[in-house]
Amino acid sequence: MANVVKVDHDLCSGTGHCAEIAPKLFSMSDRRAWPEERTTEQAEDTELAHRAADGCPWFAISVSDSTDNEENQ
Amino acid sequence: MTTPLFDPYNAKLDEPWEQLAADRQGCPVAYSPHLDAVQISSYQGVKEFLAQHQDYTGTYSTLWPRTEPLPVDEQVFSSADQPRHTRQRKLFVRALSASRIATMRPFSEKLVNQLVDDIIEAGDTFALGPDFAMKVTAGHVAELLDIPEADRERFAYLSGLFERSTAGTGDDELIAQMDEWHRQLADVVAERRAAGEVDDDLITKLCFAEEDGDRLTELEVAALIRAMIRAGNTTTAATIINTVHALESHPEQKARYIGDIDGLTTSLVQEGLRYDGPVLGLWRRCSRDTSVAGHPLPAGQRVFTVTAAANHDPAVYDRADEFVVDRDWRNLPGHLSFGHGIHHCIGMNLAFLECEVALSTLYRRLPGLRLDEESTPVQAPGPVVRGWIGVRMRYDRDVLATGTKGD
Repeated sequence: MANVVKVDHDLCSGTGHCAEIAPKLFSMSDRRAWPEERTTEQAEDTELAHRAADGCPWFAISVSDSTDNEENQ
Repeated sequence: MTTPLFDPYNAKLDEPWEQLAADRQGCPVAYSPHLDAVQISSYQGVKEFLAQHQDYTGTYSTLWPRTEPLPVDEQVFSSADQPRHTRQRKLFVRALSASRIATMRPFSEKLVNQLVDDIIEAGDTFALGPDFAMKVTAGHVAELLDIPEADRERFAYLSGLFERSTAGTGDDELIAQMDEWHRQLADVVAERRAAGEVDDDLITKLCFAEEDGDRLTELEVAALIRAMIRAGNTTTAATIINTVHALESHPEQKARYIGDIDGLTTSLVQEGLRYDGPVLGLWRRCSRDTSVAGHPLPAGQRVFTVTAAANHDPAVYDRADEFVVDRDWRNLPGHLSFGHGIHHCIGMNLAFLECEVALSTLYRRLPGLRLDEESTPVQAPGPVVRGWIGVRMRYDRDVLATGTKGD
């Protein structure tokens, strides 16, 4: 299962909840969170990404299935 | 099991650090007869508890140890549970995001410089809270809400009453004035809704925000705004005041700060929040059986998380009971003064902006700034607020004659 994790930097306020919940999916830099480049996707990553999105106090994280995007292209 | 010493109702200490250290070390999660609640005082314990938002409710209020839940319309932000909390919070995040708040910096600098001009105009001493910090915070919130100039002073006064009310004295006059504030705000909300969606201020946006076709009730909008004003004014003013108090109590740290105001303001604000942040602690109640640090907490258990104790935990910070203005906050775990988890303080970005501009401008523009000799600050009463009241400052006004007035 492949998915796309995005951080909306208009909303992100850099509290680091995501990097704490899912350190392999997010890193902190310049007072913002950044999704890590992922070459392989695993089901557990998807669940972690959703947990990070739910745990973000600024609702800045979105997780979407990459097949959605491909269909739109 | 040791009984906690912390007793903020009957014997609130100006310097509680040793007492909090004893509790944190001896009984980090323990029933306190002084609070009639389980007191959590370690950093890990407070953080673990706050992260388990599905295990507790804020509906009994986080500011007062109520025995009944708040009326539904009063359940806002930290006193709302999911999904209601998420619905409310989503309405505010964009208005209070880091990127949006950054655009307020010119307003912030202009306001604070005007307040310092007024201080210089008035004399060589000033009351740090009423003459400066409270005006800084009230000005920012009024700007966000688009409150008319003429109403701002009364608004600020009424919003400050909650601090006294957390002491739990049940003063009738105080209750009457708080009721007046609730009515006044409800009237403002009703007026904006009646006026239609013509402005883009926060109150108007809330009045017309829709979720699944439903609009918020006027009472709910009023409660949200009230919570925002209350939290925005009181806590940020206390952060400014407490940080000045800490600087003035630590001359070597103050000297270091004045030597590099540009370089150290960001870390000064973080350290001010950690060392003497505005929240001593907050109330919650378990909504189901849970545990913290292996200590079982039954459903219905009242809990008090001691933020001030968590922020001084030596397991997390070196020299935890010392005030150090140049800590490397980029590589330190965050303090818990903004809470943790989904209820993380939504006003954080605004608070940072206000504190950074207020503190740097004050120390840059007022030469020889110091506590007035006759100033005898006392702590705000009760278990919730850490705040110095009655801080009076003095500065060398004659040095200013050569003209360093703000632009």
